[in-house]
Amino acid sequence: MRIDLGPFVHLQIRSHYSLMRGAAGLEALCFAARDRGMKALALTDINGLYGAVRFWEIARDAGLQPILGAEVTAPDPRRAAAGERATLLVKSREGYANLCRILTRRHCDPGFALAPALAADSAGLVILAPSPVILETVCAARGGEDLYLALDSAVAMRAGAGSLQRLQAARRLGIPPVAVNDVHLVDARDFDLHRLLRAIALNTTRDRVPPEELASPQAWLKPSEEMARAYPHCPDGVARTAQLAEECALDAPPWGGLIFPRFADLRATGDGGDRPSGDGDSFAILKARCEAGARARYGDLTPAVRARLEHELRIIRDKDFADYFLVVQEIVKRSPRTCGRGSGAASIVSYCLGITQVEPIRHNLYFERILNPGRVDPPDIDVDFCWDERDDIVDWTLAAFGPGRAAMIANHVTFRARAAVREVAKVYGLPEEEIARVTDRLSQFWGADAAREAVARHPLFRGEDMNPARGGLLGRPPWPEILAWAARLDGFPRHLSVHCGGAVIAADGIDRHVPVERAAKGVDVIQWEKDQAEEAGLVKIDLLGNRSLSVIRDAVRAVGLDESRLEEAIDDPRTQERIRDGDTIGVFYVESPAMRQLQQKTRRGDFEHLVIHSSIIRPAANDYIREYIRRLRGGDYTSLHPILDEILSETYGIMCYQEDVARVAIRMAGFTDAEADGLRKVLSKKWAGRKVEDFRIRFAEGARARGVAAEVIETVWAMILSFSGYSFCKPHSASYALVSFSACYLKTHHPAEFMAAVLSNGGGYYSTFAYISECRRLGLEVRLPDINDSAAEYTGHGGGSEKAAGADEPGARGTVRAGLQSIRGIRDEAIAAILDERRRAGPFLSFDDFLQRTVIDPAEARLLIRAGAFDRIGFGQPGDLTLRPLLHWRLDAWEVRRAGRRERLLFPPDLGPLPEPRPYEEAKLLRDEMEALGFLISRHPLTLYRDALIRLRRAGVVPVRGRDLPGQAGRQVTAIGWLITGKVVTTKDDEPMEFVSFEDTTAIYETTFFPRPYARFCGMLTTTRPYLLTGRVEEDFGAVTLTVEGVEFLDRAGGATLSRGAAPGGRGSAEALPARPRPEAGVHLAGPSGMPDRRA
Amino acid sequence: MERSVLYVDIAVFPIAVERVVDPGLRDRPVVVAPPGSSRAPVLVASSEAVREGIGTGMSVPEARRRCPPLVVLPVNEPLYRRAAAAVLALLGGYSPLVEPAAFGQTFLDLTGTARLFGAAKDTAARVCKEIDGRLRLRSTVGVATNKLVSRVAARVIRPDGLCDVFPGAEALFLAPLPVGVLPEARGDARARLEDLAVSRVRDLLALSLPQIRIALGRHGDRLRRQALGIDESPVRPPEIAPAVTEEAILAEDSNEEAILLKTLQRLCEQVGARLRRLRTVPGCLRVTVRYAGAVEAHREARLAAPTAADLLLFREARVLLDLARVRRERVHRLELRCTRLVAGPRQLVLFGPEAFDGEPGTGRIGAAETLAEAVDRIRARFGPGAVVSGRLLAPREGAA
Repeated sequence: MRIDLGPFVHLQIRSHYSLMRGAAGLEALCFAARDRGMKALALTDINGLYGAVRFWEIARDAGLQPILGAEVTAPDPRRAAAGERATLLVKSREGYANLCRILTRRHCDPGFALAPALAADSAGLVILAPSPVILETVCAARGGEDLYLALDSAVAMRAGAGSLQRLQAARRLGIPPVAVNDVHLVDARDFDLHRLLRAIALNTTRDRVPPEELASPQAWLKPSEEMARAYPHCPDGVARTAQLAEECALDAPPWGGLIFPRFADLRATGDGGDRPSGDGDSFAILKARCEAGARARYGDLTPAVRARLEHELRIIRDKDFADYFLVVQEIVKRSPRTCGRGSGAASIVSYCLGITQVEPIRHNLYFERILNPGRVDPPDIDVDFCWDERDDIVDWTLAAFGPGRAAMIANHVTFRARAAVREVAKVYGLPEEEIARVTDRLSQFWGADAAREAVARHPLFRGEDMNPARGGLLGRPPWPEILAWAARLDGFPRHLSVHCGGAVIAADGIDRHVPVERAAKGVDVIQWEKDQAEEAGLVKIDLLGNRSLSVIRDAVRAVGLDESRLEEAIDDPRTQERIRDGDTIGVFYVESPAMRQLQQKTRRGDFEHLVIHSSIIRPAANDYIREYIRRLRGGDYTSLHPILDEILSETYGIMCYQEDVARVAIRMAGFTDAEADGLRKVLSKKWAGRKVEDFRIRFAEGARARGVAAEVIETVWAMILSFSGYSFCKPHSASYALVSFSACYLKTHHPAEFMAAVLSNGGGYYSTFAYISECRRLGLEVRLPDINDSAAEYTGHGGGSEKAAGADEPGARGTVRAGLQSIRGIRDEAIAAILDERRRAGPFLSFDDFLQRTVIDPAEARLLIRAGAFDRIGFGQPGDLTLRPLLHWRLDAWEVRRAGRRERLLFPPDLGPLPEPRPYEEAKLLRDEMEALGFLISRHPLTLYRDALIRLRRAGVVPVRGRDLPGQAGRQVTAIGWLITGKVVTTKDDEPMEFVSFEDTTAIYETTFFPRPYARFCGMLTTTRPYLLTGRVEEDFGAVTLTVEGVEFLDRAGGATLSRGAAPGGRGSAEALPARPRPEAGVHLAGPSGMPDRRA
Repeated sequence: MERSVLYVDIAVFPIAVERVVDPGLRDRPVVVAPPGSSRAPVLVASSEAVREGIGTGMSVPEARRRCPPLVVLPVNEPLYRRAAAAVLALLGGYSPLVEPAAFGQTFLDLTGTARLFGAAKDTAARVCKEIDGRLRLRSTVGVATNKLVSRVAARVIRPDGLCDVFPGAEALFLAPLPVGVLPEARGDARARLEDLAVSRVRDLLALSLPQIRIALGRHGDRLRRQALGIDESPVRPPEIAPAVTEEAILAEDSNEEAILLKTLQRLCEQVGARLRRLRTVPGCLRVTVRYAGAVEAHREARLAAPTAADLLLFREARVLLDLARVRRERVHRLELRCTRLVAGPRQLVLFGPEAFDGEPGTGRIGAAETLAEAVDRIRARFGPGAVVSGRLLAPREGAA
């Protein structure tokens, strides 16, 4: 039996999911409705169900009956404003499917017209429309059932006459009226927020928003009595809302149950042999494929393998997941090099199907973690592809299931601190620079609250403090107002974007489960983001791009390596050695400074430990990492609890993997599988503070009941909390560790090819410049582009160590050649033409040969000369500094002659002999290189600062070389450094500090800027200029860092330091400079063509 | 007759002027940048800043990183304009032929003044001293027979001093200098010359004309002339067109419609009163909006019926303001400028009344003008506050 829904129910409500219009969040709406005594609430966002799943959950939490719906408008905004719009409410599951389809057509069908769509497809929907014209058309087509006139209270009050006419027209048609309030606001005072949103959306100021773009100030969530008062002329319209609400009150949401792709839907995959004929066949195919795969992977099947396979297959059959595995396999088959990961990587079925590469039995991966009988969640398999192949894979997937069955998941792009402050400030008309002064420094702070904190405390905001009396910018109007508005906007959705790799596929058509839109780049995208899609049961397949797979692919191809060698990588001693030493720049997942330091501290290079390490590196786990290292290095510890010893035996009693949380919660506190999974999910969300507390209580009670001591409970819970944010499960880490080993194997044995592949694929954690330095450290020679030797991308040769012995001594062999693409400003077509010509008729013999054989834009030829691409086919001696000017002369002369020919001049200009040019200065060569490539390849930029070094020596300062820092532990030293990368973190007291990596010509080394030095020097750190650092060398478990106490610019250090209060008549600083122009002055290492600054 | 041209150059003029205003800026690295976006480029950098590796065109944040104690000043054009005017006034005492090339850079033609002031070289020294003594600005002065060479002469002896190039020695003087001193060897041409290893003027002169043409095309001819020190362009004082201009700086930057219209109304009344006093009517109206971020935008229109009546000016100006406000940024300053002034009473309509559908109560153009004249008379008699238009009374609300 239905509950009584009260005298009036709001049937037309826009939340902030009516993008840039609605000024109310779902929580605010629902809880306000409850507080105002309402029992039901409809959510009818404009042209979308963007928040429907979330709404259902929140409304239920608030004790309200949710009513689902949406408002559909005519595509032409003018006609929509004139009343060509209708609010549709869902009466049944069928109605829901119809609504999704209508919304999909509204977004995807360019010829969409409202009235015909409503007439055709509206079974199970209640239609409320403000315009009698629409009602008449629809009524004529499908009868008057479920058809109502939406009578807006604001309109009713404002323009009484129009309202009356509409009422009469509807009465003539026999269509009853319904009172609605076009709700955009929770309270009347939110109108300013609404106006602000419209101003942001329309790119204007608040007082210039046209009135027709605004909702009525009355459009707030009025209580029933007030609504009743607004309709003296139409009391039945008010009463009818409750009746309609009752009709539309669904007991359960119209979604739920898992929605899978169907293997049979796959078309055009090329191997039709085992295509299923009926539904029951999928499992048989899966079984057959698994068995074949198992034989290929294992040879003879041991009993353990056989038992594991049967066990998994049984669960898969019971849960009906066979189709899912087959579909993922089909997608993975599109590419020879993939990395299946996520919890699904624990499965032997995935392994046999080739979806994943980690052997689950040897590496102790448990299947229960992905599918167990107690869980309803879908299996979770993410697949990485080479980043440059990923888009094709996604396109193929969307196409392969037939139209309308597959779409991408959306991202809801929301206002975050920076964007919110920026947009509001623009509406307030503040100048760009003033806005940027604030927002530039907000980039690291996500939420608006965090941003306000930051403004108050962070040293970057010194001088911008909140106190106007001290000249603080943010304390002056209108900034306090702007920050307050920005805080309210925080989390408001702005627009949809396409999730980077999540696809959902439904056998019976995706648009009956969720509305689909078409993104700008042409792909179909559903209206929900990941979480809502998951909650509604849509099974997502993540297809992601991974640069390192491309790196491995390219390096293997360049070497001509047998794939099977990579499979042995995890047992290769020299690869393990390199991983142990943390000498892994360029190697997937283990190249960051933090990871390399962890490797150096643990000194373990085997696969099992690498799996642990790539999981334990989590933002919140610093203390546990230290403890882990201590225990690993033989430190003793007392067991907290026998259960922990058992579960965490592999990881020295430290919780390390995501699934450890669930296992500990189950074993120690008696959580059910579902509860434990809930805990895992809550921890991974940022916004779930309240729920975490619920789980804490539940955990403490459960553990106490099992006799666990209070302090143990506390310690364990703290450890569980360290999984907040992100964390990884073991199969995921194992899959990644395998990729790391493959990459590291290549770096160890084929460094030139490997580094070339890293550079060609746009690198990873570091800048191209840093990888070039790494090449030098590996003893590779990095060469400028060459017209005959360069490919489009970087290429590497030699330097390998297939001859194993004697390969340890550096020098001599390997080279990395910059590709033609690394020259800025050359078009890809020009490069292709050069390469084609070279393939066709061999290398270019001379510059003139080049000019004759290619059709090249002289500007591009000029770039090639500057990049040094012709240095080897020119004339004269190599290293002859008159070569390049001579080439330029020839090019110019050739251009003039060509122009003469083109114009068919009767008397072609007499050019006479070309002059004998003067030689280039070295500065010009360096400038050309900087300009052509963006950084120096031929030498480390530090080598340009010899003058500064000599000056330092004279002043008695002898910097320690990076390579020698490890021997200096505990000493106070100075060192020279070029900044490579940095990472800002906050201390326990919320003070910012930074870990910065510097390099000199001998090594890369890590430094720490504790809060005080950080506050002092953060403003002067840049990647365009070298520094002289002073500080203390600290050693921690064998890893060395420099704790920085002082920073100077290298070229200003040693006596010529410029200080704020330079002495009067202080031209002394100028005199201290060397009289002749310094070499560095000739090379602009920054500016438009300079290296991109890491902070830009 | 041999010409004597002076080029008076005050290096990094904006900063030099700021340092006169605030001596605390001396000897410190200072740059001037438009208070525009966060990537606003440095426009001018003091020599101290240049020494820190800062150059024009570099973004301000980058510059700050290179030199933390850097002082960044906003562009202050009115100040530069005042200072430049003072320099011009001073130079005007020596010759009527004064041509300001840019802020702080001025040509002065002293040809024929030897009887009056002595040799050009001596006058130059006096000018230099006088600028230092009266304006506290350090200048360099180049003396030569033409603009080109005098300018180069001043540039090579920066930051102060005097350089006199004897007549006939122009080419000799230029030969050892970097080719970039020639105005024609900037930008693309300079890059081309650099690629060709032509770095000094004498390298350029070593090339034959066909060779220069290979490198630079027709452009090469002009460059060669410059390399020889040939320049015949005259020193030409600027021309000034008559105009009536009023500007208002808002008490507080604002983008509120009501406040802007109120300000515009006041400007129209001020301009209108001045025009009527001059007995002229404008043929062209221009509204300039300067935003808080120092960006300017303007719109202008020819008036179909020239008039000096406040109400009609406002009607036109309001449309222009609306068009000029392409941004939503707060407005800092409004300017109303009337040009194409036509003297005397305008042509009356011979037949029939002129239709006017503007503000209520104005009826026809004639009526609006009569009204304006009446208001002028009342104000003349009872003071400027005797009659006030309603819009000016409205505090904030109003015609939003």
